[in-house]
Amino acid sequence: MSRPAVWPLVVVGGGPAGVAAATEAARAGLRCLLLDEAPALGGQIYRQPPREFTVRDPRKLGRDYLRGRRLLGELSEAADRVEVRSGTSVLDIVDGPELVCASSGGGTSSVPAERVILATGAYDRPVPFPGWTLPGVLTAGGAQALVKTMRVQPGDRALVAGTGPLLMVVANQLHHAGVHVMAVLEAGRSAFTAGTARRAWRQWGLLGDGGRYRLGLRMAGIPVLYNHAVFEAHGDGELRSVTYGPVGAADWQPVRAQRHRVDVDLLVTGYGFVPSTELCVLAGCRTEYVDHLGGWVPVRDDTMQTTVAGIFAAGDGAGVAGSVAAVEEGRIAGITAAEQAGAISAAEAQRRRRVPLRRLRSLAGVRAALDEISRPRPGLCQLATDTTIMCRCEEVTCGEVREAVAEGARDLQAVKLLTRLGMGACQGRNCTPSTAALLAAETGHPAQQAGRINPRPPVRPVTLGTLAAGQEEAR
Amino acid sequence: MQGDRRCRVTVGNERRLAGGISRGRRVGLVVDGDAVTAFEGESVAAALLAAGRRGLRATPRRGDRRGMYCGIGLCFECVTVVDGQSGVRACLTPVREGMRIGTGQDGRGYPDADADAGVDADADAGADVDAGAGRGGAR
Repeated sequence: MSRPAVWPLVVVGGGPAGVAAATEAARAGLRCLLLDEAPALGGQIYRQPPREFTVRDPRKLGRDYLRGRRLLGELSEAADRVEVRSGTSVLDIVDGPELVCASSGGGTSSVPAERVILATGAYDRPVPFPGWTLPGVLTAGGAQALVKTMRVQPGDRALVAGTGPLLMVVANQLHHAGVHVMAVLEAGRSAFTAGTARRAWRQWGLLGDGGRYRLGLRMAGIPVLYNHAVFEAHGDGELRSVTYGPVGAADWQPVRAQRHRVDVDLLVTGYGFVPSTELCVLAGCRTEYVDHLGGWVPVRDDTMQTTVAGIFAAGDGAGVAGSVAAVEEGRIAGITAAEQAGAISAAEAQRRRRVPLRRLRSLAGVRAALDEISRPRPGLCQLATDTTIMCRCEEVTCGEVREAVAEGARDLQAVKLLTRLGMGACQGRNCTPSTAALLAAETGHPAQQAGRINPRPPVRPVTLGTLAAGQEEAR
Repeated sequence: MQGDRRCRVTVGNERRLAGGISRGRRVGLVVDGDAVTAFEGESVAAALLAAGRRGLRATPRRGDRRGMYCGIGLCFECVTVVDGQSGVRACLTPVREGMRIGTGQDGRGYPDADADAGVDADADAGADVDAGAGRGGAR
């Protein structure tokens, strides 16, 4: 397949949204390039075992594996029009648009595009509490990566804590991986109320999944404690035990008087997700703060176009709504990109968008119900004490942040200047969501007033050697 | 909570789940000077976890132990010294035969490429520096 000098469409991200976008665009006859960081497509949820592993029994790898295979199967039917570049990170988007990429083989390259669909996904919302930096404390996504992809048992005795439907999924996966899951602590209330069921009406897939995972825990004898959270992780160099207890139903304030301690060597935390919007911001897309979508998200119309012509955003990276919604958003973006490129007529595009749009609308009800249960409450900020690390990279404590606030810091930029918070290798991904929440709690202002720490290229760390190799290539 | 169940002790390969897949070729790693067996396709983080090693670095300021946290390459908690190069994310980096990995057991953090005791002194002479990390040299 010859490569066009300027790609009609470049899709960034090979998860559910990106794969669906590339599939629809290719089906409509558009040539596109799909860039993905990982060695194989699938994103976090559909991440496949490494190439060096041979899958003997797909059923043992779980439902996500099979769903991922199905989605990737759709893409392979349109493979003649899609070039996939795995192991490729996008470092920057410059005017044009032009994407600056680094490949695992070394060196950088520049990819000019007429249109770009950003499907960059989301990451686990970090919630600091004393001891959360101990080895043995993992995010839900991290635990899943080990079990689903690496097929390694991350611990012997575990607690799973946080909020949202993913907790039940992870607890089941850990149980099947041989981990003794002591309990699931959900900070919110049960999703299995009449209200949610009514709103989830006709969402048989989601209802079935939810019921199956809840039933799985019951059969395994794993208790689910609602309005409970982890207060502290203990250990010297490694996790040994955890203190947990009830939280207030309305604000999730920890009720420390009723705390318990349990010996575990694995603590999995999942407090929902934060969209990865760095590339959106670098591309100049306007963003807004939407609490129930995970924080800062690009402003979009209903065909997934951002405020910058030719730049689309789809999936959890544009607002956390889960993999089912991500696929539909990706389809809509792919169809619209093909329409703009003239591959299909406006009428045909409208016809093709009809089904995914309808599916998105029908998901909205159950999403709203689940979002309300899992919306992070201000009490979570009370878990961190003055000695708790807020910024893992620069080892900045909660006490140092509070001091900065006392000195007059009112937003993240000011906290960064006073404390170095957010200046480390993760570029603030780990610390800014929780520090924004802390600022809101300390100042009484809404979290969006804390602003954000502006992403700077390269949005993925790259060695000077790689950058130098790229320049040589260009000469 | 049910605390009555037996706590299973797992060592070495028992952390690797059987069934469903077969792993790649067996490879040998050197971790903090010790020989560790891994399988092609595994990430450094997964291989070290399977070997019972969860601490992957020591922080530069306090010397605290840190391990894999996000597992998807975003948090930079799992950065180790690999073949003399510092700042390598263990969760994303596949193992290779003969790979030498330093986890800062001597209490030094990842900015020091020579924290891996198993690496020859000249091996880190060409170690690259992270651009975009924003970490100042002086502290």
